[in-house]
Amino acid sequence: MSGGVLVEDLVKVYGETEAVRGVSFDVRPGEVMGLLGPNGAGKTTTMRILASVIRPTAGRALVNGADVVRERDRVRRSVGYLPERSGLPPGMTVERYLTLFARLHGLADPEGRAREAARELGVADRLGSRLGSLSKGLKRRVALARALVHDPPVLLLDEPTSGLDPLSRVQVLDLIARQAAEGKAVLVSSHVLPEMERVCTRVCLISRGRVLARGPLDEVRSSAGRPVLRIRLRPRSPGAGDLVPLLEGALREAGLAARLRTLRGAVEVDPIGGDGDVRSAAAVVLRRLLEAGIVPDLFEIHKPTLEEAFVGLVGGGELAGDLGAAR
Amino acid sequence: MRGIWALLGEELRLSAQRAAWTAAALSFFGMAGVAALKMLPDLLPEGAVLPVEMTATEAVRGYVRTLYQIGSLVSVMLGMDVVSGEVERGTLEPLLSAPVSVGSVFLVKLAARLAALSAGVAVSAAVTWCYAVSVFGPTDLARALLASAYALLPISSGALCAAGASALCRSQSSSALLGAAATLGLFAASRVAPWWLTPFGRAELAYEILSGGAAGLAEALGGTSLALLILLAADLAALLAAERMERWWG
Repeated sequence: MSGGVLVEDLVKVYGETEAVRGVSFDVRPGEVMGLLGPNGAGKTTTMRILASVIRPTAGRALVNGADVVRERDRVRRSVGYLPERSGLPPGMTVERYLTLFARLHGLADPEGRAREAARELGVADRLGSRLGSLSKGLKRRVALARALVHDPPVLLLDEPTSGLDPLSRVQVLDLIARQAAEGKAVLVSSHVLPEMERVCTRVCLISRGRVLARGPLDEVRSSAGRPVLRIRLRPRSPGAGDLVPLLEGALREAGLAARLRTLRGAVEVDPIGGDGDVRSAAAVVLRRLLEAGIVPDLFEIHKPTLEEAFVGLVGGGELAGDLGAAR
Repeated sequence: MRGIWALLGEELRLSAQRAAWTAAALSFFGMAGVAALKMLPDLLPEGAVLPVEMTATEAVRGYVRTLYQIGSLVSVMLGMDVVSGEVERGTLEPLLSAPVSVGSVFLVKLAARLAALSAGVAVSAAVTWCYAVSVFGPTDLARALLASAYALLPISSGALCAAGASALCRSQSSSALLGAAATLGLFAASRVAPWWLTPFGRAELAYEILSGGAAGLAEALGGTSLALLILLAADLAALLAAERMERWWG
């Protein structure tokens, strides 16, 4: 593998603490890979190893074909790294700071590249501002511009949308998708799973330093269970009392064995077996509802979300606090 | 290499404020010393013999003594954040993800702080000289600056000790304490240590320069420079050990 990122059996031990325990994954050029996990899962440590800021205890990691231990200089030239903390010196202006990093990377036109990166991140009008005077969101954008200033083939972004307002989040996610579309390999770590679902093509879930699941987004999502059919009628609407017998009949007709349960006022059809699938069952149910003159308030096939897969794999108790804080 | 020069340029720019504070603090103590000398006859009982001459040269000599004490403290404060300050502010991690070595980053930051210390000492020496001349009459400015420049070498050890400590500690306060302890130890050891350490305690050599003589200046300069080089080597060893042990990352 010449481009992208390849991680094999990566181990990192701090004293007696194993922060990363045999993590393996790869990020191909042109894709966004999400590195997901609760606090203390080992995401930041993995990112730091890939940015060649720290060394692994064991295992191998290649970034754009260069070994993170033996070829640190080559790795650092290939990587645009956004750490968890933006880490901007308050006394410098945006322009001087971005120009400095362009010079550190030996670019031919450092001022031009700095202005271009600032424009890309929407901070071109703040080039003369001191970094210490910027809001948290603007600081994050400047830090992202710093990671992009040398146009690296690999991006390592640790919580890129942290501290951004909703509009800026959307813009940054679009930027990440654009970078991947240009052929860059992008590894993003985040707690905000709906955002990850939006930009990632594949994900790697880690907890306590171990990989719990990795693969295409749909594959990981499906580990939380099969799609379910949700139907909700308006309270006291005609036919509300007939819904359950109607559903049982429709499911029999569709050949689907399912458990019916009530969730927040909606009836949920959770398939547990049979020959049919939830999609064809949904068609039968909808036809029968309309024949009976019942118009549902909600009728949807709900696919498991990444968040549900995440909670299911990692364990709800451990995650409750993290996800609550991230929302 | 161009990147390192760019980093040095930025560090020097950021050190202008440090230089201004250093100059202000040392000028304050220098001028306070001159004022104290001027008031000395009023403080002594009538007819008492003055313990020092009431001359500008003596006033500048008092300033050099201040440099050894207050200057060393200022020097420690300048050196204490070379690494740990960057770790605390989170600015080290992005720098180390760029293609520069931690050793060159350290040397650039230390050089900028030593430049700030030198500029501060030069300005404060000139200010104190002006005030001393206005109070007591003429004295040689070149000698005053030369004596201050000589004193700058031993007091730079404060910045070197603190910078080495800052590579090993994760907070600036710990770096300051460890750096100050190392500097005090160095000055205390200069009373008993081999020849290359003695210049640290030889403030009188600066006074000799002021008085027109300076026997053993070359030997003292060589000794002090060697001692500073040994300190610098120790700093780099501490830095590389700290990087190897990954002291800066939680």
